[in-house]
Amino acid sequence: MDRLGTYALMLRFRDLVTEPGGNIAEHRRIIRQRGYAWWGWWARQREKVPRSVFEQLFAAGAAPIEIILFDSGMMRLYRTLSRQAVIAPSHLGVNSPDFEATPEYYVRGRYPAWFRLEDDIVPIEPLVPRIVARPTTDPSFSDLGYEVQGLPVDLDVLRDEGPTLWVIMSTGGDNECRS
Amino acid sequence: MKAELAKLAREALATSEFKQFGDALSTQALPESFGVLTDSALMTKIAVQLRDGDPMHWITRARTWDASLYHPSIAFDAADNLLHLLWQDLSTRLARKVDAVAHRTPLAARGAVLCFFGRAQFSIVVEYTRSGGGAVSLRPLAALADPNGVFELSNLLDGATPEIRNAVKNAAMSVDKLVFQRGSIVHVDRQREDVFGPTIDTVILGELVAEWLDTKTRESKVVALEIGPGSGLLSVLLGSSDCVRALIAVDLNDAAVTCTLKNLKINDITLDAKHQRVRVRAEKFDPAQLVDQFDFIVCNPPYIPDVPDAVESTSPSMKEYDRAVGGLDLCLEILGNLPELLAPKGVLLLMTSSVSDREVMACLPDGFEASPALGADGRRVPLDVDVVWRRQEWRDWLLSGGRIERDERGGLWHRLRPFWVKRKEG
Repeated sequence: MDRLGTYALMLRFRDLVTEPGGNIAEHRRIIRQRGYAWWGWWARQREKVPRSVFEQLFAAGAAPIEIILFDSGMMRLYRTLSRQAVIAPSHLGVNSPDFEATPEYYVRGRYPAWFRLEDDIVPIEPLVPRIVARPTTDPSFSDLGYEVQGLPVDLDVLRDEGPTLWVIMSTGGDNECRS
Repeated sequence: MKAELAKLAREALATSEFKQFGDALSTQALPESFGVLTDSALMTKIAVQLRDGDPMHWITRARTWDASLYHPSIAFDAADNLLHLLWQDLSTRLARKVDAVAHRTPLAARGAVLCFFGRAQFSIVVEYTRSGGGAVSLRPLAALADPNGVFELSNLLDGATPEIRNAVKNAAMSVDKLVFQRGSIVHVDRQREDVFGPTIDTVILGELVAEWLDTKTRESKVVALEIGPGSGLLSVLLGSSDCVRALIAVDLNDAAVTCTLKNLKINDITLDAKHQRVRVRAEKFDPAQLVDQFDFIVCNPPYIPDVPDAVESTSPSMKEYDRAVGGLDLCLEILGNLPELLAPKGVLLLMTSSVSDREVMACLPDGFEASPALGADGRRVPLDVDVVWRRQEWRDWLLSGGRIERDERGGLWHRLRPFWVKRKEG
């Protein structure tokens, strides 16, 4: 816990263009090969890029950010770490900064943001994340205060929500699946 | 189209709202992308914002292309954003085209594409790298204003960092010659194909072809002829256009025909045996074999004239000269047959040079008129014909007649003078 920040990012995804489990498997393979992989954030059209939130989370010298990957199709959670994000300067998105470290199935895509995943992606036990903010759909939200504890929200509820990205309280990293 | 895009770019710079400009870029049928940088009003605005007046720097600076630098804390001003969008557009189109080349023909894992914009007013050398899975990543290595050739090594290396110098040298040594213009790409395997590939002459003609096509509509139903397509760049530009109903390309060189066919396929131009919209014929140009009349004819013929009797030499190298440059026979044959070949409202786009344009224009058939396509001065480019350099009497004859110029380093230059030829009106 001490090497992690207070907050984590939870990113929703589904295996729409790969076989079930393919997203995670491809990123894991690249991380094992190269030590990192780029994860593209496939935002919905009405979502805004929360630049100031990303700026705070990925500030120079900050602790690595815990990334929780939420497979809303299989209702599974995975955990990894990120120290770097790149943000597209415009609404047209941006290509992955490193094609060699990006799964082939979406390497040609342009997305609003890419996260450099730098730790193995491991499945974690189902949990009830404490939601701090929905910055992509709440344009008024910009500042991550440290007094916030977040509200617990079930995954079933999050699955039916609009955002594909949430700021949550860090899980602490001690909830890996035992099996 | 370019003027409209430049207007949107200027508006985007003024308002910092890029949606309309970005959407316009991504929906263009024949992309201009970086061509908008030839708009002087836009250039002035960008130069003020970036505090740098050299557009060639704007293209290669990391902020334009290197996404790994796009940290959330980096503020992009409007000029940064505009250049980034131009790069996103070019790199997306180019990656698809390099992909298409790699699917059709063996292609090195790393190399360079020579891209041309405006009226060949600048070129960008873009390095490509194909990942193990085949994905193409791109980086602009260098940009040159007013290029004298398709790959100007000395100018590209001048002032480059050691890393860029190495990348440019590797590109120069690659067997793959790739030229991208107006959304089309042409590939020549310099080792296996007996075809030189596009030169600056071809690129300049390519711009003129594209500009002429821009004046046509889908209803125009143009019937076009290219004589001597070489690697096929001009035929690809014509074949890609919706307003061209039929295209015939004729080349004496079998290798050129094979290369043209390959490049048509790379650019998704269907060679349908049934409809035969596009036909490439391996034969000597023979007007009697062409039953159609053409709305548009384009040719980049040999334009070094035959050796005049006054400087005739019996040296064996003169035979080498004849083989290399071929004289004006093709040029004169086209002009001589123009009344039969050209449709009543048709045009011929013919490349000529200061070395011989007076002889060529003297052979214009009665009832036809010619107008310079690049203004009276044409475009000054190096005379890269080794045999002319080596033949002193021939070189002196060209210099004394003002057909070529010599610079202070001894380099020889001529002027490309493409002409539009059509029937006189009235």
